[in-house]
Amino acid sequence: MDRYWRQMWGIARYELRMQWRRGMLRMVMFILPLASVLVIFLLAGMQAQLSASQTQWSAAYPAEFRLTAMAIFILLPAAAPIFAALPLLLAETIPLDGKLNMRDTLDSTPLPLWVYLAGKVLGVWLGVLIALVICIPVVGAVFYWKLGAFNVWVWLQVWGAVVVPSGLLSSGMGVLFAAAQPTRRRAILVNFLLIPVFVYLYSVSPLLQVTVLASLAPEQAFDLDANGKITALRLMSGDVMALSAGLMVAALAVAGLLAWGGIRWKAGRA
Amino acid sequence: MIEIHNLSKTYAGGVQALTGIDLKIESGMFGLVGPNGAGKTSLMRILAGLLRVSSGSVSVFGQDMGTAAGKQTAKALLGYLPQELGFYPTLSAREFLDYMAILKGVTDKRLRQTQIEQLLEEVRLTDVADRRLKTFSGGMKRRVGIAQALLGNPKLLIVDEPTVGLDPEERVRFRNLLSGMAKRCTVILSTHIVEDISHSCNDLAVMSKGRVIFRGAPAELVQQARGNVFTVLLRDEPPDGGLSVVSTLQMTDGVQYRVLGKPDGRYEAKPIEPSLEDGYIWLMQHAAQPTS
Repeated sequence: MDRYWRQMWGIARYELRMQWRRGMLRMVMFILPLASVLVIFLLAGMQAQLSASQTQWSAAYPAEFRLTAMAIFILLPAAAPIFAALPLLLAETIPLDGKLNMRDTLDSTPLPLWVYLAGKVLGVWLGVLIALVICIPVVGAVFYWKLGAFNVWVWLQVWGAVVVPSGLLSSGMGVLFAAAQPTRRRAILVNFLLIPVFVYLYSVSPLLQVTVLASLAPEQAFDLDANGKITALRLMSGDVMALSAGLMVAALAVAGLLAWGGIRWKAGRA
Repeated sequence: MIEIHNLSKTYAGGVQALTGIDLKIESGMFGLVGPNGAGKTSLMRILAGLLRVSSGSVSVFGQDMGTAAGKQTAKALLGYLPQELGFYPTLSAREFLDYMAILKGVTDKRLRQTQIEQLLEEVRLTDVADRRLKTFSGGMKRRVGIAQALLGNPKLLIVDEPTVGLDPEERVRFRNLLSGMAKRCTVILSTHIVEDISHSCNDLAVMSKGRVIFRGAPAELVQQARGNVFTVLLRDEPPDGGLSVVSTLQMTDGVQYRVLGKPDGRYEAKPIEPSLEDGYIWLMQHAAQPTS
């Protein structure tokens, strides 16, 4: 197992390096913060209307309360289209090996297929994680500028529990779903089919629903300290986290099986 | 040892690539020669565990290539240089070899680095090891290819048409490199360039239309054409009468043809010593019945 893990980690390191040098990772790093900021600008226009409709509770709670709810409310729909686009950007990750005539060389090694697939996904995840880590301060700064002072700790919890896992789910599924496709074009076309699947998974995610609820009914959502300051997202319980993580693992497992089966089937026909 | 018994391969479209191949390959350098489309690459890919057999059996160092477990074990023992060589253009030669070594299971970093440095030295690429592969010439890429095939100290090295696209100097260097490898592992060299075989192999098979039509030493193949190779000096038209022209040389007093066959009385023909190429061409023209 130690050998498989080392092989997987080796593939991941080189995949990250190759993605960076091909420019794909740089594109993801550039597009993610840029698209986030653009969507924030668009959605921030809703602030006034939302504030007007929430005057009843906004009068009863401090500004931090209202702004934190607003920051969460804007962040989640801002992230969705970006993550829906990730499978298209990363579709060629595995088909590119075929295009570069690497298939025979790779298949002549004693590397198990599942280790190869897992290494590729891990490499892409490292890239997406780096991109998201760059995103967080950029998007946070824009939020501060457009909305005002919100509770950063709670906002980071939403990143950690919803946004980052969704990014990993989307990119991982994007890599695996297109793995058996022979060309880059076919891979991108196939991953277009993945977009509604991902949007559905994203929208049924219990964590997403909980956080949307938090933004709509914040009086039930936040734990407060004695001074009325927010300390945590109350609804982000262990059960909800486990359910979301389970859904994510199941979705990735299905995509992984499709990739494994597709590549095996193609090899079996030869 | 590699044992192939009654091997046949038919592709999904119904194309029969191999028919009833029987071969035993011992250590040293083994040549597999034949025209394009003879089935050499199909056979190489089966030996490398990349293609399934349609019928018959293949055993590589006792591992049955018809089973997944056998294939997996055998792959750990082999190095493969495919005909269509692939690379990651954004990686340097050193990075590419490191990546391939990881895939081959050389997970110890120090061991990997030692092996890579040795192989880079062996294929004379140490000076350019940190250059990206997209800047390499065809010959340099081939040398990286052979280095990757040798990672992990394989017991069996399969090289498929390795000298295609190389200049004469590179070809000689490559042949010498393979000959050196044959001292430490079994090398199977597949080619349609007879010259590659004549300089390096002491055992060979000739394939045609999916069958093995000759198996033996190069001298035995040369023997096939003995007494049937002549030079003929003519002033105008090339020779006819069932003679095959192997080469043509412009002379001051006419054109000297090297021919295969039995010249009739019209020509003043001089018998000469056949080469391996003569033997090969003679065989391709006259082999009617397959041998094993």
